[in-house]
Amino acid sequence: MTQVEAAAYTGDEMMAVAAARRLRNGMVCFVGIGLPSQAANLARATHAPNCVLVYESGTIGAKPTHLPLSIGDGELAETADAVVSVPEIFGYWLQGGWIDIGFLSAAQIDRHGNLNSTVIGSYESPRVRLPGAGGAPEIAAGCRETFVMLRHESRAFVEKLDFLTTPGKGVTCVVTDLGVLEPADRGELMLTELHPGVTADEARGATGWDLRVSDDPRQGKPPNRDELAALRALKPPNGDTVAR
Amino acid sequence: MARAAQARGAFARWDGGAAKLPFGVVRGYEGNDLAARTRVARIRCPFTGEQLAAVPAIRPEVGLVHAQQADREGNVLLWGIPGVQKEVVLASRRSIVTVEEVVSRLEPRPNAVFLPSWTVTAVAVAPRGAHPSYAHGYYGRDNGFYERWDEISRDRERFRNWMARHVLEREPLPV
Repeated sequence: MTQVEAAAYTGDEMMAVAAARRLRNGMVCFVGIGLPSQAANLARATHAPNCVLVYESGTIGAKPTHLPLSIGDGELAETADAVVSVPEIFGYWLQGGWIDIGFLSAAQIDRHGNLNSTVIGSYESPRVRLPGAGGAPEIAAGCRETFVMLRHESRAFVEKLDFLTTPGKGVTCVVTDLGVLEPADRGELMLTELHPGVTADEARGATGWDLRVSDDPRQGKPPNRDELAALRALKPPNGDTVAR
Repeated sequence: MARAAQARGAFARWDGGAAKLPFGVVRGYEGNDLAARTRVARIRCPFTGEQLAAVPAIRPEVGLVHAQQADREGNVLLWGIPGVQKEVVLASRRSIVTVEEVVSRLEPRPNAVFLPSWTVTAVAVAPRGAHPSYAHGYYGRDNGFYERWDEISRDRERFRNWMARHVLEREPLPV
Protein backbone atom coordinates (compact mmCIF):
# COMPACT_ATOMS: atom_id res chain seq x y z
CA MET A 1 0.00 0.00 0.00
CA THR A 2 1.44 3.33 -1.03
CA GLN A 3 1.33 6.24 1.33
CA VAL A 4 -0.10 9.43 -0.01
CA GLU A 5 1.50 12.85 0.28
CA ALA A 6 1.06 14.82 3.49
CA ALA A 7 -1.21 17.42 1.95
CA ALA A 8 -3.48 14.87 0.30
CA TYR A 9 -5.76 14.39 3.29
CA THR A 10 -7.44 16.56 5.90
CA GLY A 11 -7.00 16.66 9.66
CA ASP A 12 -10.46 15.15 10.09
CA GLU A 13 -9.56 12.29 7.76
CA MET A 14 -6.40 11.63 9.77
CA MET A 15 -8.50 11.55 12.95
CA ALA A 16 -11.02 9.13 11.45
CA VAL A 17 -8.21 6.86 10.20
CA ALA A 18 -6.28 6.96 13.49
CA ALA A 19 -9.41 6.02 15.45
CA ALA A 20 -10.46 3.36 12.94
CA ARG A 21 -7.07 1.63 13.23
CA ARG A 22 -7.68 1.17 16.94
CA LEU A 23 -10.87 -0.80 16.37
CA ARG A 24 -10.50 -4.55 16.10
CA ASN A 25 -12.71 -6.98 14.25
CA GLY A 26 -15.71 -7.98 16.32
CA MET A 27 -15.58 -4.99 18.66
CA VAL A 28 -18.97 -3.58 19.59
CA CYS A 29 -18.97 0.19 19.20
CA PHE A 30 -21.51 2.76 20.38
CA VAL A 31 -21.26 5.52 17.81
CA GLY A 32 -22.67 8.97 17.26
CA ILE A 33 -22.82 11.08 14.13
CA GLY A 34 -19.70 12.77 12.76
CA LEU A 35 -16.14 11.57 13.24
CA PRO A 36 -17.02 8.53 15.39
CA SER A 37 -19.40 7.29 12.72
CA GLN A 38 -16.72 7.84 10.08
CA ALA A 39 -14.12 5.96 12.14
CA ALA A 40 -16.33 2.98 12.91
CA ASN A 41 -17.65 2.68 9.36
CA LEU A 42 -14.12 2.99 7.99
CA ALA A 43 -12.96 0.16 10.26
CA ARG A 44 -15.88 -1.93 9.02
CA ALA A 45 -15.01 -1.14 5.39
CA THR A 46 -11.32 -2.04 5.83
CA HIS A 47 -9.63 -4.21 8.45
CA ALA A 48 -12.57 -4.93 10.78
CA PRO A 49 -15.54 -6.07 8.67
CA ASN A 50 -17.24 -7.56 11.71
CA CYS A 51 -16.99 -4.45 13.82
CA VAL A 52 -20.50 -3.99 15.28
CA LEU A 53 -22.00 -0.53 15.05
CA VAL A 54 -24.62 0.40 17.61
CA TYR A 55 -26.31 3.77 17.24
CA GLU A 56 -28.10 5.25 20.23
CA SER A 57 -31.34 5.36 18.28
CA GLY A 58 -31.48 1.62 18.98
CA THR A 59 -30.01 0.14 15.82
CA ILE A 60 -27.74 -2.78 16.65
CA GLY A 61 -25.32 -4.04 13.99
CA ALA A 62 -26.13 -1.28 11.50
CA LYS A 63 -24.33 -1.61 8.16
CA PRO A 64 -24.87 1.67 6.30
CA THR A 65 -23.28 2.05 2.87
CA HIS A 66 -22.98 5.80 3.40
CA LEU A 67 -22.47 7.84 6.54
CA PRO A 68 -25.83 8.49 8.13
CA LEU A 69 -26.89 12.13 8.54
CA SER A 70 -28.66 11.32 11.76
CA ILE A 71 -28.68 8.52 14.31
CA GLY A 72 -32.29 8.01 13.27
CA ASP A 73 -31.60 7.42 9.58
CA GLY A 74 -33.83 4.84 7.96
CA GLU A 75 -30.83 3.07 6.42
CA LEU A 76 -29.52 2.27 9.91
CA ALA A 77 -32.80 0.56 10.75
CA GLU A 78 -33.01 -1.27 7.42
CA THR A 79 -29.45 -2.66 7.63
CA ALA A 80 -29.40 -3.42 11.37
CA ASP A 81 -29.47 -6.89 12.90
CA ALA A 82 -32.00 -5.57 15.39
CA VAL A 83 -33.81 -2.33 16.13
CA VAL A 84 -34.81 -1.70 19.72
CA SER A 85 -36.32 1.16 21.70
CA VAL A 86 -34.31 3.89 23.40
CA PRO A 87 -34.98 2.52 26.91
CA GLU A 88 -33.81 -0.90 25.73
CA ILE A 89 -30.61 0.27 24.03
CA PHE A 90 -29.57 2.37 27.02
CA GLY A 91 -30.86 -0.04 29.65
CA TYR A 92 -30.28 -3.60 28.48
CA TRP A 93 -27.42 -3.07 26.07
CA LEU A 94 -25.35 -0.09 27.22
CA GLN A 95 -25.89 -0.22 30.97
CA GLY A 96 -26.07 -4.00 30.68
CA GLY A 97 -22.39 -4.00 29.75
CA TRP A 98 -22.50 -5.34 26.19
CA ILE A 99 -20.64 -2.48 24.50
CA ASP A 100 -16.85 -2.41 24.13
CA ILE A 101 -16.11 1.10 22.90
CA GLY A 102 -18.12 4.27 23.32
CA PHE A 103 -17.17 7.32 21.27
CA LEU A 104 -17.54 10.79 22.70
CA SER A 105 -16.65 14.32 21.77
CA ALA A 106 -17.01 17.56 23.73
CA ALA A 107 -16.30 21.26 23.67
CA GLN A 108 -13.70 20.95 26.43
CA ILE A 109 -11.49 18.24 27.88
CA ASP A 110 -9.14 18.41 30.85
CA ARG A 111 -5.95 16.47 31.64
CA HIS A 112 -7.91 13.61 33.18
CA GLY A 113 -10.17 13.17 30.19
CA ASN A 114 -13.16 14.78 31.91
CA LEU A 115 -15.49 16.28 29.33
CA ASN A 116 -17.68 19.37 29.09
CA SER A 117 -20.55 19.40 26.62
CA THR A 118 -22.89 21.59 28.70
CA VAL A 119 -21.80 25.27 28.82
CA ILE A 120 -18.91 27.61 28.09
CA GLY A 121 -18.78 30.26 30.81
CA SER A 122 -20.83 30.02 33.99
CA TYR A 123 -23.84 27.75 34.17
CA GLU A 124 -26.15 30.62 35.17
CA SER A 125 -25.10 32.99 32.39
CA PRO A 126 -23.21 30.94 29.84
CA ARG A 127 -21.31 32.48 26.95
CA VAL A 128 -22.28 29.45 24.90
CA ARG A 129 -24.99 26.96 25.73
CA LEU A 130 -23.83 23.64 24.29
CA PRO A 131 -26.04 20.72 23.22
CA GLY A 132 -25.77 19.16 26.68
CA ALA A 133 -25.01 15.73 28.05
CA GLY A 134 -27.13 13.87 25.49
CA GLY A 135 -26.45 10.49 26.99
CA ALA A 136 -22.67 10.99 27.29
CA PRO A 137 -22.48 10.16 31.02
CA GLU A 138 -24.40 6.94 30.39
CA ILE A 139 -22.15 6.06 27.46
CA ALA A 140 -18.98 6.68 29.49
CA ALA A 141 -20.34 4.70 32.44
CA GLY A 142 -21.69 1.81 30.39
CA CYS A 143 -18.93 1.09 27.86
CA ARG A 144 -15.75 -0.79 28.71
CA GLU A 145 -13.63 1.95 27.13
CA THR A 146 -14.29 5.46 25.87
CA PHE A 147 -12.57 6.93 22.81
CA VAL A 148 -12.66 10.71 22.60
CA MET A 149 -12.31 12.47 19.25
CA LEU A 150 -11.61 16.17 19.47
CA ARG A 151 -9.70 18.76 17.42
CA HIS A 152 -6.58 19.81 19.27
CA GLU A 153 -6.68 23.47 20.29
CA SER A 154 -6.03 25.25 23.58
CA ARG A 155 -9.61 26.49 23.96
CA ALA A 156 -10.74 22.85 23.95
CA PHE A 157 -7.84 21.29 25.88
CA VAL A 158 -8.22 23.33 29.06
CA GLU A 159 -6.64 23.49 32.50
CA LYS A 160 -10.08 23.70 34.11
CA LEU A 161 -13.44 22.75 32.61
CA ASP A 162 -16.26 25.30 32.79
CA PHE A 163 -18.58 22.38 33.59
CA LEU A 164 -17.94 18.67 34.14
CA THR A 165 -20.53 16.77 32.12
CA THR A 166 -18.86 13.38 31.80
CA PRO A 167 -16.15 11.94 34.05
CA GLY A 168 -13.04 10.77 32.19
CA LYS A 169 -12.60 7.57 34.15
CA GLY A 170 -13.12 5.19 31.22
CA VAL A 171 -11.24 7.21 28.59
CA THR A 172 -8.52 5.04 27.06
CA CYS A 173 -7.55 7.27 24.16
CA VAL A 174 -8.08 10.76 22.83
CA VAL A 175 -7.63 11.08 19.09
CA THR A 176 -6.95 14.62 17.89
CA ASP A 177 -5.86 16.13 14.59
CA LEU A 178 -2.30 16.32 15.98
CA GLY A 179 -1.90 12.90 17.59
CA VAL A 180 -3.16 10.51 20.21
CA LEU A 181 -3.25 10.92 24.00
CA GLU A 182 -3.58 8.05 26.45
CA PRO A 183 -3.95 8.02 30.22
CA ALA A 184 -0.68 7.44 32.09
CA ASP A 185 0.08 7.78 35.81
CA ARG A 186 -2.96 8.65 37.93
CA GLY A 187 -5.01 8.85 34.76
CA GLU A 188 -3.31 11.99 33.42
CA LEU A 189 -3.43 12.12 29.63
CA MET A 190 -0.05 11.83 27.95
CA LEU A 191 0.75 12.39 24.28
CA THR A 192 1.87 8.99 23.00
CA GLU A 193 1.55 9.33 19.23
CA LEU A 194 2.04 12.15 16.73
CA HIS A 195 0.44 12.29 13.31
CA PRO A 196 2.82 12.71 10.35
CA GLY A 197 4.50 16.11 10.22
CA VAL A 198 3.38 17.16 13.71
CA THR A 199 5.86 18.00 16.46
CA ALA A 200 5.43 17.53 20.20
CA ASP A 201 5.85 21.30 20.63
CA GLU A 202 2.90 21.92 18.34
CA ALA A 203 0.78 19.64 20.50
CA ARG A 204 2.03 21.35 23.67
CA GLY A 205 1.19 24.73 22.17
CA ALA A 206 -2.35 23.58 21.39
CA THR A 207 -2.93 22.30 24.93
CA GLY A 208 -4.09 24.56 27.75
CA TRP A 209 -2.24 22.60 30.42
CA ASP A 210 1.39 21.53 30.70
CA LEU A 211 1.07 18.51 28.40
CA ARG A 212 3.11 15.44 29.24
CA VAL A 213 4.72 13.75 26.26
CA SER A 214 5.94 10.16 26.31
CA ASP A 215 9.72 9.65 25.97
CA ASP A 216 9.57 8.57 22.39
CA PRO A 217 6.11 9.28 20.96
CA ARG A 218 5.13 6.94 18.16
CA GLN A 219 5.10 8.43 14.68
CA GLY A 220 1.68 7.72 13.22
CA LYS A 221 1.40 6.63 9.62
CA PRO A 222 -0.54 8.79 7.19
CA PRO A 223 -3.76 7.39 5.76
CA ASN A 224 -2.96 4.93 3.00
CA ARG A 225 -4.75 4.88 -0.33
CA ASP A 226 -7.16 2.12 0.65
CA GLU A 227 -8.16 3.89 3.84
CA LEU A 228 -8.71 7.21 2.08
CA ALA A 229 -10.66 5.62 -0.75
CA ALA A 230 -12.89 3.73 1.69
CA LEU A 231 -13.41 6.81 3.85
CA ARG A 232 -14.32 9.03 0.91
CA ALA A 233 -16.63 6.41 -0.54
CA LEU A 234 -18.64 6.62 2.69
CA LYS A 235 -19.47 10.29 2.20
CA PRO A 236 -23.15 10.76 1.44
CA PRO A 237 -23.76 11.71 -2.19
CA ASN A 238 -25.48 14.99 -1.26
CA GLY A 239 -22.71 16.69 0.68
CA ASP A 240 -21.35 16.80 4.17
CA THR A 241 -22.62 15.02 7.21
CA VAL A 242 -24.86 17.00 9.51
CA ALA A 243 -25.19 16.00 13.13
CA ARG A 244 -28.77 15.59 14.32
CA MET B 1 -39.19 12.79 21.02
CA ALA B 2 -37.85 14.14 24.25
CA ARG B 3 -34.26 14.65 23.23
CA ALA B 4 -33.51 17.36 25.78
CA ALA B 5 -34.47 15.08 28.62
CA GLN B 6 -31.89 12.49 27.61
CA ALA B 7 -29.30 14.30 29.69
CA ARG B 8 -30.45 12.80 32.97
CA GLY B 9 -30.89 9.12 32.36
CA ALA B 10 -33.94 9.79 30.21
CA PHE B 11 -34.25 6.16 29.17
CA ALA B 12 -34.91 5.26 32.78
CA ARG B 13 -37.21 8.26 33.26
CA TRP B 14 -39.45 7.11 30.38
CA ASP B 15 -39.22 3.51 31.53
CA GLY B 16 -40.38 4.57 34.98
CA GLY B 17 -43.09 6.76 33.48
CA ALA B 18 -44.53 4.00 31.31
CA ALA B 19 -44.48 1.61 34.27
CA LYS B 20 -46.20 4.31 36.40
CA LEU B 21 -43.37 4.15 38.91
CA PRO B 22 -42.16 7.33 40.63
CA PHE B 23 -38.58 6.96 39.47
CA GLY B 24 -36.16 5.07 37.28
CA VAL B 25 -32.77 3.67 38.30
CA VAL B 26 -29.44 4.18 36.59
CA ARG B 27 -25.93 3.15 37.46
CA GLY B 28 -23.28 5.83 37.77
CA TYR B 29 -23.96 9.55 37.72
CA GLU B 30 -21.13 10.23 40.10
CA GLY B 31 -18.30 12.68 39.71
CA ASN B 32 -20.02 15.15 37.41
CA ASP B 33 -21.57 18.61 37.79
CA LEU B 34 -24.93 17.46 36.42
CA ALA B 35 -26.06 15.95 39.71
CA ALA B 36 -26.21 19.42 41.29
CA ARG B 37 -28.17 20.86 38.37
CA THR B 38 -30.67 18.14 37.68
CA ARG B 39 -32.91 15.93 39.73
CA VAL B 40 -30.74 12.95 40.49
CA ALA B 41 -30.76 11.27 43.92
CA ARG B 42 -28.34 8.74 45.30
CA ILE B 43 -30.00 5.55 46.44
CA ARG B 44 -28.74 2.29 47.86
CA CYS B 45 -29.98 -1.04 46.57
CA PRO B 46 -31.90 -2.68 49.45
CA PHE B 47 -30.69 -6.12 48.34
CA THR B 48 -27.03 -5.66 47.42
CA GLY B 49 -26.13 -2.30 48.95
CA GLU B 50 -24.92 -1.00 45.58
CA GLN B 51 -24.96 2.79 45.21
CA LEU B 52 -27.21 3.82 42.35
CA ALA B 53 -28.90 6.93 41.06
CA ALA B 54 -32.64 7.55 40.98
CA VAL B 55 -34.10 9.83 38.32
CA PRO B 56 -37.71 11.04 38.48
CA ALA B 57 -40.13 9.34 36.11
CA ILE B 58 -41.61 11.43 33.31
CA ARG B 59 -45.41 11.46 33.57
CA PRO B 60 -46.69 14.03 31.08
CA GLU B 61 -50.17 15.50 31.07
CA VAL B 62 -50.28 15.02 27.34
CA GLY B 63 -48.01 12.98 25.08
CA LEU B 64 -47.81 13.61 21.35
CA VAL B 65 -46.23 11.19 18.91
CA HIS B 66 -46.38 10.55 15.21
CA ALA B 67 -46.98 7.11 13.68
CA GLN B 68 -47.56 5.65 10.25
CA GLN B 69 -51.05 4.19 10.55
CA ALA B 70 -54.21 3.96 12.58
CA ASP B 71 -57.34 1.97 11.86
CA ARG B 72 -60.90 3.22 12.26
CA GLU B 73 -61.08 1.90 15.81
CA GLY B 74 -58.10 4.09 16.76
CA ASN B 75 -55.49 1.36 17.07
CA VAL B 76 -52.06 2.66 16.09
CA LEU B 77 -49.16 0.95 14.31
CA LEU B 78 -45.66 2.38 13.98
CA TRP B 79 -42.50 0.77 12.73
CA GLY B 80 -38.88 1.58 11.96
CA ILE B 81 -36.92 3.14 14.82
CA PRO B 82 -39.29 3.13 17.81
CA GLY B 83 -37.38 5.63 19.99
CA VAL B 84 -39.51 6.31 23.07
CA GLN B 85 -42.84 6.60 21.24
CA LYS B 86 -44.50 3.74 23.09
CA GLU B 87 -43.20 4.96 26.43
CA VAL B 88 -44.46 8.50 25.75
CA VAL B 89 -48.00 7.26 25.08
CA LEU B 90 -48.10 4.86 28.03
CA ALA B 91 -46.52 7.36 30.44
CA SER B 92 -48.86 10.22 29.55
CA ARG B 93 -52.24 10.84 31.13
CA ARG B 94 -53.65 11.63 27.69
CA SER B 95 -52.10 11.10 24.30
CA ILE B 96 -52.52 12.38 20.79
CA VAL B 97 -51.13 10.32 17.94
CA THR B 98 -50.82 11.90 14.51
CA VAL B 99 -50.70 9.39 11.67
CA GLU B 100 -49.82 9.37 8.00
CA GLU B 101 -53.08 7.65 7.14
CA VAL B 102 -56.05 5.71 8.41
CA VAL B 103 -56.29 2.24 6.95
CA SER B 104 -59.13 -0.25 7.03
CA ARG B 105 -56.89 -2.96 8.42
CA LEU B 106 -53.50 -2.76 10.19
CA GLU B 107 -51.19 -5.40 8.75
CA PRO B 108 -49.32 -7.11 11.61
CA ARG B 109 -45.56 -6.56 11.36
CA PRO B 110 -42.97 -8.33 13.50
CA ASN B 111 -41.40 -5.96 16.02
CA ALA B 112 -43.71 -3.09 15.16
CA VAL B 113 -45.08 -0.97 17.98
CA PHE B 114 -48.81 -1.53 18.36
CA LEU B 115 -50.75 0.86 20.56
CA PRO B 116 -54.28 -0.40 21.24
CA SER B 117 -57.03 2.19 20.91
CA TRP B 118 -57.65 2.11 24.66
CA THR B 119 -54.16 3.56 25.28
CA VAL B 120 -54.62 6.45 22.86
CA THR B 121 -56.85 9.43 23.61
CA ALA B 122 -57.06 10.86 20.12
CA VAL B 123 -55.82 10.14 16.63
CA ALA B 124 -55.36 12.93 14.10
CA VAL B 125 -54.57 12.39 10.44
CA ALA B 126 -51.54 14.47 9.53
CA PRO B 127 -49.94 13.37 6.27
CA ARG B 128 -46.25 14.28 6.20
CA GLY B 129 -46.58 15.00 9.90
CA ALA B 130 -43.01 13.93 10.56
CA HIS B 131 -41.58 16.62 8.26
CA PRO B 132 -38.78 17.71 8.18
CA SER B 133 -37.92 14.26 9.51
CA TYR B 134 -39.10 11.13 7.75
CA ALA B 135 -41.75 8.46 8.17
CA HIS B 136 -40.38 4.99 7.52
CA GLY B 137 -42.03 3.51 4.44
CA TYR B 138 -43.73 6.81 3.49
CA TYR B 139 -41.14 9.50 2.69
CA GLY B 140 -37.53 10.42 3.34
CA ARG B 141 -36.08 13.15 5.46
CA ASP B 142 -35.81 16.69 4.10
CA ASN B 143 -32.10 17.14 4.79
CA GLY B 144 -32.05 20.50 3.05
CA PHE B 145 -34.56 21.80 5.57
CA TYR B 146 -32.30 20.82 8.47
CA GLU B 147 -29.42 22.69 6.87
CA ARG B 148 -31.59 25.78 6.39
CA TRP B 149 -32.87 25.43 9.95
CA ASP B 150 -29.34 25.86 11.29
CA GLU B 151 -29.37 29.37 9.83
CA ILE B 152 -32.97 30.15 10.80
CA SER B 153 -32.59 29.04 14.40
CA ARG B 154 -29.35 30.95 14.85
CA ASP B 155 -31.03 34.31 14.36
CA ARG B 156 -33.84 35.37 16.71
CA GLU B 157 -35.60 37.55 14.13
CA ARG B 158 -35.49 34.96 11.38
CA PHE B 159 -36.72 32.35 13.81
CA ARG B 160 -39.70 34.49 14.83
CA ASN B 161 -40.57 35.26 11.24
CA TRP B 162 -40.41 31.61 10.32
CA MET B 163 -42.59 30.61 13.29
CA ALA B 164 -45.14 33.32 12.47
CA ARG B 165 -45.40 32.31 8.84
CA HIS B 166 -45.38 28.53 9.21
CA VAL B 167 -46.93 27.91 12.62
CA LEU B 168 -48.51 30.77 14.57
CA GLU B 169 -50.45 32.44 11.76
CA ARG B 170 -51.46 29.29 9.95
CA GLU B 171 -55.13 28.53 9.71
CA PRO B 172 -56.18 25.05 10.81
CA LEU B 173 -56.45 22.73 7.83
CA PRO B 174 -60.01 21.96 6.72
CA VAL B 175 -61.28 18.74 8.24
